[in-house]
Amino acid sequence: MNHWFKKRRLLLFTPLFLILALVVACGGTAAEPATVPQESGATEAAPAAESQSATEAAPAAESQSATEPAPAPVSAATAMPQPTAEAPPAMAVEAKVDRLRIAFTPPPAETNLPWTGARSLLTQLSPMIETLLDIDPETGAYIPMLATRWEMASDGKSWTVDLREDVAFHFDTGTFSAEDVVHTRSILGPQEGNLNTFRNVWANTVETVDVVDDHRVVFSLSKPDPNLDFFLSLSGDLAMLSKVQWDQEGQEGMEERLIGTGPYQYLEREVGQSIVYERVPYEHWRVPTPDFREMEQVFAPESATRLAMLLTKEAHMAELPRDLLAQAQSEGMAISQSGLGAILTFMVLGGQYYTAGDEAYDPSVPYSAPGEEGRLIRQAMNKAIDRDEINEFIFREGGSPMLVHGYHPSLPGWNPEWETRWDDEYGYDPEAARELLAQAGYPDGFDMKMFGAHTLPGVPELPDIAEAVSIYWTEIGIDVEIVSLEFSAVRPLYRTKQFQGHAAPFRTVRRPIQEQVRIFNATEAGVVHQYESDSLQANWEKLTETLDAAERDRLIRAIGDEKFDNFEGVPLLWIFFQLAIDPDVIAEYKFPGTAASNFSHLETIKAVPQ
Amino acid sequence: MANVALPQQLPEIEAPRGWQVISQVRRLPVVPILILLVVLVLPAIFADQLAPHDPLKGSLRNRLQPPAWTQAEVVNGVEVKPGGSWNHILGTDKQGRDMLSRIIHGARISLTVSLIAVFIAGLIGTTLGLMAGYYGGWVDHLVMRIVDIGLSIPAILLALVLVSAIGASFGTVIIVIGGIFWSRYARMVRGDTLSIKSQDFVSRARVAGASNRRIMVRHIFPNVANTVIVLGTLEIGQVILLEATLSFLGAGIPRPTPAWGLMVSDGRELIVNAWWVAMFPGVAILLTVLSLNLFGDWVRDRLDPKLQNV
Repeated sequence: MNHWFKKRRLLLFTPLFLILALVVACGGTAAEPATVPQESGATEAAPAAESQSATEAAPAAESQSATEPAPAPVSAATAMPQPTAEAPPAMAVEAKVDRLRIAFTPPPAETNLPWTGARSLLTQLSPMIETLLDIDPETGAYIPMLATRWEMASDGKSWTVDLREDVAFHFDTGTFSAEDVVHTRSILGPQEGNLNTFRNVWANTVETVDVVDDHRVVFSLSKPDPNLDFFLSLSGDLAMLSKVQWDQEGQEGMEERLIGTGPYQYLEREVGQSIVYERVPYEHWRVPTPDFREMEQVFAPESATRLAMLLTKEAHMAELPRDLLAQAQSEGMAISQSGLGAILTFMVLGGQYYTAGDEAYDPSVPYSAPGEEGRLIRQAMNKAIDRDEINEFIFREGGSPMLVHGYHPSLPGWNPEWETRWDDEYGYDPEAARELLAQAGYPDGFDMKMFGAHTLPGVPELPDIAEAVSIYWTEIGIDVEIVSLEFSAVRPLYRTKQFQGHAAPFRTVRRPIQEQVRIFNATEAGVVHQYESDSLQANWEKLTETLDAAERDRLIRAIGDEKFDNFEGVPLLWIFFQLAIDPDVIAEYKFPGTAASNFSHLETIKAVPQ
Repeated sequence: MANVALPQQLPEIEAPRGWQVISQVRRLPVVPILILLVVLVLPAIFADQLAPHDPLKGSLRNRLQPPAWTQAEVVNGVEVKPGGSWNHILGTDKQGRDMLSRIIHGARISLTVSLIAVFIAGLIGTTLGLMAGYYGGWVDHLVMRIVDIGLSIPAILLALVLVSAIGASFGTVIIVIGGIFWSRYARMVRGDTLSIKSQDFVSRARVAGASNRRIMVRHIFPNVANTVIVLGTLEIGQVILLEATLSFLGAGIPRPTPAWGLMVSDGRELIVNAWWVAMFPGVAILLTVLSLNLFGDWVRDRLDPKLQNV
């Protein structure tokens, strides 16, 4: 007996785990029903049905061609007063669930203080807060919210805004008035430790906010700005805060419980887990009675966890990468998509601080070398990228080309020449890329680093993009080491110009080009410092001084030409925000995608009636 | 006084079933263990020759191809799920890179990290353990208190903190793991040194005028070397696990280097549809650590004199 055991023991231990594991795994696959989501959608043999659904889910509005229909621009050259759009009161339906649960990636910071981080943290506050202007979920046009009318003076240096009356703050803390606007701007602007992206606007561009009466204010600017409506809208971060709360409770009170004017009010927060709201106990002026009594945003870092939550009804809506969206779809979930192709995806090539005298500039980094050498290398890095492949296999055909960072045919300053020059100068050609590298003096390539582990709202695929790009660059001899850092750790590096020699996948949202250029290209007022030069800075400064539409268009185009000609980064694709929703619970969710909170208008989600 | 008949032969007491199994495992012949090691170690050494593809290169067009033996799924004449290809025997990952090639090169990473880290830990730990045991006094107190502190902090937590502070890289991971594991060597060597230094041959060496360093290196170290070797062999598996864990958590070997832990991490979100991405590197870790542990047991049985008569 013992002898028999000895003979068999060789088979027992070492291969046992492997065999059992493989049998279980293979068996699991074989047992999958035919409706299992199609990972092979990623291959050339994608079935027609999958392709069709992907195509249908991606409107062609953000087309490359300037002649094709495009989404409405988010900002007009001059702001026009808008009529008050009072929606007829809608009756709430009896939803199937009391509490709507939404699974999101964790925000950059979990806080009730809107000024302490990137604008995307506003997603967690979205149902509770309101701004002066709303955004139409389908067209992107500005429509009234807490402002009923707004008008720019002819010199562009002041904006008069009429405020809605009888809007209540939560928890019986009074009604909204001009003092609250002044108070909110004072918090978002000059305050030390303020990290919000638009701090420069509230601290410097806006010099004063003067109260005309309880329901009229005037924003006085240091420079003419035809885009102030952008900052006053949901795209900005001027979410109206209660002065009464600040006076009575201070910042500690806000940290404890934020008071806003939105259709939902704060209920509770569990840091690292979730934030919960309840609908206000009165008829809200904009959404009289939201369909769901409570709403909860659950923060789950793992995509697989969010998918599991959705499929097991633990959540009714979930932010998922496109791969898993397809799987959710095949399991009976529906896709909700932003009204606009609002997301720009691109690779930042850090350290191009070409402005004369910039001490942060490091000419030894190959791709940011001065003059033609750096330009050729950046062109090589662009020509190494197969954007069609990324679009097809990572975004499932959901993207459209972005030729210059931030520029779109529907926005001012578009140069049609970029389209004709694109293939020659940026088109995928690894052989030409290698030749360009050799021409620049790097026939064997070089080593560089990339921050590529972070995700940002709307594009959970950023790490996939980073790795795909690193493979493309490896093909032409550029060896990339991917550094794993959370976005909260990456952000201070680019803000303080410590990004030399590092690339990073990025996403930002559609906004006026003057503002886009400020954030990514301006020297002092800038935030990301992607590519800076004296000529670009001069053009941008001229742009901030003029209201003449033709001149603005010329300047914006000149800036775009410089960005295009110098390969300032690696522009990739315009894409849409997408979410998976449970059609048994949610009937409709419309959002524009251009709001600061990305997933805005959560309070308007329509429930499936019981 | 009653006569008590003594049994002629004591009845054989049968060990519990679990013990029998453990006992059998512990006595496994070294040959299959070595075979496993060779199957894993040889690919690591000759990765460039054996890997069918470049582990860093891939194509999104080939992403998530299943293993070669997987049949295509066809519904109503339409292929809804492609079959595998012998060009990629173990399939491909999300970036279209060949899984087999990445696992082969991953073996090289894991074994390199573990061997160097264990060597560093052994060097530091043995040196300090010898000094603590030989000199005693404040040296002993100082070293042992540091050892106590080191052993009281969870290794994975300490490694995460250190890697986060220094920054993840191949070198950092080796140094951090080596810096964590040395305390185990120090404690073992110090204990052996304490007993050896009181033996006659050490006293005679001292009387003969040998310096302290010579006594430690030439007379005591050879007698603790077995302990160090046994511990080192047993710890290689633990180091591989720690490295894989760090990589899984994003604090280990940086991408796109094909580290097993990273590969498992990449595959966890695909486990339902592309099980092979996480499964195969996981199995590689399992087999390696299991075989190394068995090999370590065998080495201990052979080298530890206390076990020779058992």
